[in-house]
Amino acid sequence: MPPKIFVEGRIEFRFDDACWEVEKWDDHPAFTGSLGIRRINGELTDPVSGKQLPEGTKAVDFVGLSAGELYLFEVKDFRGHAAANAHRQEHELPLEIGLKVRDTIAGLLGAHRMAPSPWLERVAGALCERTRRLHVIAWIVEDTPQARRDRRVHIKTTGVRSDQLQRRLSWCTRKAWADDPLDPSIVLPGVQARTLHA
Amino acid sequence: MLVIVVVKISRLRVHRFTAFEDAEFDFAAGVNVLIGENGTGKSHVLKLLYAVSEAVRRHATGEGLDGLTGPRGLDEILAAMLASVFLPDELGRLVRRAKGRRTAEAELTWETGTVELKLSSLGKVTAKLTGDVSGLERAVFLPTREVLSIFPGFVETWLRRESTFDRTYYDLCLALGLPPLRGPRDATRAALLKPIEEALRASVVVDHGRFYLRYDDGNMEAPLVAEGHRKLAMIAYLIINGSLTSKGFLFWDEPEASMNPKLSRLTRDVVFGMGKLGVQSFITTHDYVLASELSLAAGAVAAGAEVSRFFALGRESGKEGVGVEVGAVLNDLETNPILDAFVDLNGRERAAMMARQES
Repeated sequence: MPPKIFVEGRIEFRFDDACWEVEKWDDHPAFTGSLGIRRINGELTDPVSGKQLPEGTKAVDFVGLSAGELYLFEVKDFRGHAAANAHRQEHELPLEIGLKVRDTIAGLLGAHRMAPSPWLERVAGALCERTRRLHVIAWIVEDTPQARRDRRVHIKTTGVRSDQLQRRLSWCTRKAWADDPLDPSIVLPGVQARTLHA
Repeated sequence: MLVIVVVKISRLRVHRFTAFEDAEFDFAAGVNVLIGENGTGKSHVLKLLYAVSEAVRRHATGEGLDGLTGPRGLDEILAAMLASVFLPDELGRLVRRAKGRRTAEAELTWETGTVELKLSSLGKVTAKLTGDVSGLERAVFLPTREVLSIFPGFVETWLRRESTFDRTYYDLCLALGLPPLRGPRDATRAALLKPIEEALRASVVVDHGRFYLRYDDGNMEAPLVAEGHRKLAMIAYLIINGSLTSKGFLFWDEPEASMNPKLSRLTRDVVFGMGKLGVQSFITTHDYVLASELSLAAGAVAAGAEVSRFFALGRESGKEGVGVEVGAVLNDLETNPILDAFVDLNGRERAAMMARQES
């Protein structure tokens, strides 16, 4: 079987069909369709300012099953604009991904109840069974620093991001990590990623 | 069939004691890790657990405060233990400060018994013991500093002279004064010792009351060895003489002090290795690497077989005293000043890195 290929921004991901059952969740009919969780999007009035503030439903990029375990993947490509995102990343990235995970879990379970499919059945089964692991992986791509001291900062950043993500997600899983999918030393069996050049 | 009952500390409740107004700790049977900013009472929790459990054990065994000398009643032993472990000007200073007279309370629960302790701001201690505490094993308290370098003559000096060293140093020197266990090392002790001796590249020996590290090329006096290595050597000798391999309690205040972070993994292995022998551990730390190593080991245990717990101590605005949060691994805790400091540092490092790249 050919691999399943998805393109997220400038990155192409290939999931080996022999070991992965993966879907692009933010494009999936169970998310975008009329019965999907996005139907609760709307606006709420801020009690202080009186302004109408949007309340949106969030979604991770990919949801996959491998060896009976569930994986939620979020892709962030900060190449070329890391400086502009620096402050936001430090404080908001773990929260942003945490909210996406929250809404994805709710969306998957709701869709399994209201618009069942064999894939959703297996995903919901993995979510609800305590002995099967739930992995959350933040695939974050940044410009690779050239100087040695900057590469050390880069490595430390990945560790700190993983810790922050685990702290935000300890309500549902302890298997949460930040990784660079383009780093050949980061091996997730059956997954390949590469940059698409214009 | 001989059944050995291993008694663990299961719970501590404190009321108006030092930094705490009301706090409860439900401990794991294996490894318990306390984190928190300075002044949140981590060491006080360790010292209280040590003082109370040792007072009760010494009372239950008829050993008295210091072997066969000193007070033998539980109230008196407790008062003397608290005074010598905490070293306050007056015992009543351990009661959380407020206007008027107050009483601090502590309730320590083992699987087989409970002791309820009351301490008035005038320094009067009363204790009520219920249940069976005859199975309580010895506790070892490892303070932040090593004691090998001060060991020669310390016990006699501490007993006869005023000292700024608290009782935990004295009790530790007593434990180090015990000779090695008779016979060949059993497999468990040998397995615990091997990585420590490999890290030291030496074994630990005592000669005429002085500690030495025995290297391939000869002995070196303990005071000439790096402080972090003296700390490791101290633990090695406590394993050699059996003080750390009974089914007792280990209280270890900031193991990382003077130790290179590279030794954090070894520290973790020692603590969890002793857990397998039935030793219940209580550890405070400010160190990111050590806390993360301990959490990694805690998380590797199968779900439902929780043997470790992490406690975050912190002050919440609008609440009196220090609050306690509990988790099975480090990142379960919302209050984590170690990670907060790391995130802050990393943010500034990234800002500096980006400034360099733009210039």
